[in-house]
Amino acid sequence: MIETGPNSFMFSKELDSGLLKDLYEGDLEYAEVVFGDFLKYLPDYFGEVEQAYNGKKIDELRKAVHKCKTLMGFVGLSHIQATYQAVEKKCESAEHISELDADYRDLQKQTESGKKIITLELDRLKAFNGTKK
Amino acid sequence: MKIKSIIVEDIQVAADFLRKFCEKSGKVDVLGHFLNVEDALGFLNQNVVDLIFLDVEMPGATGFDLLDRISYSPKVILTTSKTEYAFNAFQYNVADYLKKPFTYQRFLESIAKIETTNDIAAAKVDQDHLFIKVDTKLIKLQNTDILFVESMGDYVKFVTPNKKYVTLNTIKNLEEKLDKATFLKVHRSYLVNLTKIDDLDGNILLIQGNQVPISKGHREEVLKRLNII
Repeated sequence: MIETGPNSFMFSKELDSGLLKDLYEGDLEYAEVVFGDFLKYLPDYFGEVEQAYNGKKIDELRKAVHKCKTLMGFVGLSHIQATYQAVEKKCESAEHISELDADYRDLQKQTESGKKIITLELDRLKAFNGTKK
Repeated sequence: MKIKSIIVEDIQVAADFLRKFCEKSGKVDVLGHFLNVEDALGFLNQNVVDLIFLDVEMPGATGFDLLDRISYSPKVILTTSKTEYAFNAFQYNVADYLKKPFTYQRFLESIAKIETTNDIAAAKVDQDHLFIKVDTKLIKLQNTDILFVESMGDYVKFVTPNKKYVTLNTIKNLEEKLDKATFLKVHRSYLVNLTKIDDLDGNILLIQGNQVPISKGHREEVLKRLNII
């Protein structure tokens, strides 16, 4: 599934590799920094989602979802970003937080899955970059 | 000369990405990164920049609130992940709109737009006069003759001591073209020649018998520029 070699690195197929290729233009050391930052900031950002949902604050939830959505883009989690995008849109018209219950659970699940993917990818990047040093 | 910029962005990863592009280009200096509008305004009230990389959705006030409250008009590149803001971006006359995450190539295209308009502005700033089109004539106005300029929808009115001229233009455009050391936007609809102000009464500037209102958002900058002791 994943091909690596001494002179090439291919992003995991679970990520939007075309986007990542364009974004990082081969600067895999910087990709490593960003993937690390993603894992560093995600708990706080998703914490804002949780806080807004538990507080039943739909507009705050929309803003927190927007923030996570943006973050997902920098590591190529385009499929999860699309889910966030849909929930953000739904927040604009939702009148009660209960309308978003299923979406919130889905975000929890997908975010956790994204975190695992990026953790593995970061390990791969570290290993690859380590061989270049 | 490098473009002096700031980044207003609440997502650290996005701001770092942008800063890296700026450094890589060798064309843009980043003077600061601010996580919210209030902090950015605090900086902009004390410093002049050429360009703001501006996110829209941030905690508290939005990027558009910043544009409403800033007392001068640096170039603005909106950086957002929401395409719905494109219409507002057009209304605010921003130089470009970058959808996050964007590539280095796309960033360079944006900077090229800024460089082009900066060259135009630089060429005009040295001039001590301008020509305005009134009916079929081009009329030369010395900067020193202009008391203030008032917006009238798609037109503006140049007020001089002896005459008023109405021409097709916007305050936003003139703000960029007129000398920033002399002319200051004091209200969404007014640019005044600071050297012509006679008195300030509350939120009203008196200029050779004319009354010009100061808006709440511009008051602080006006007071700063009036050399009050």
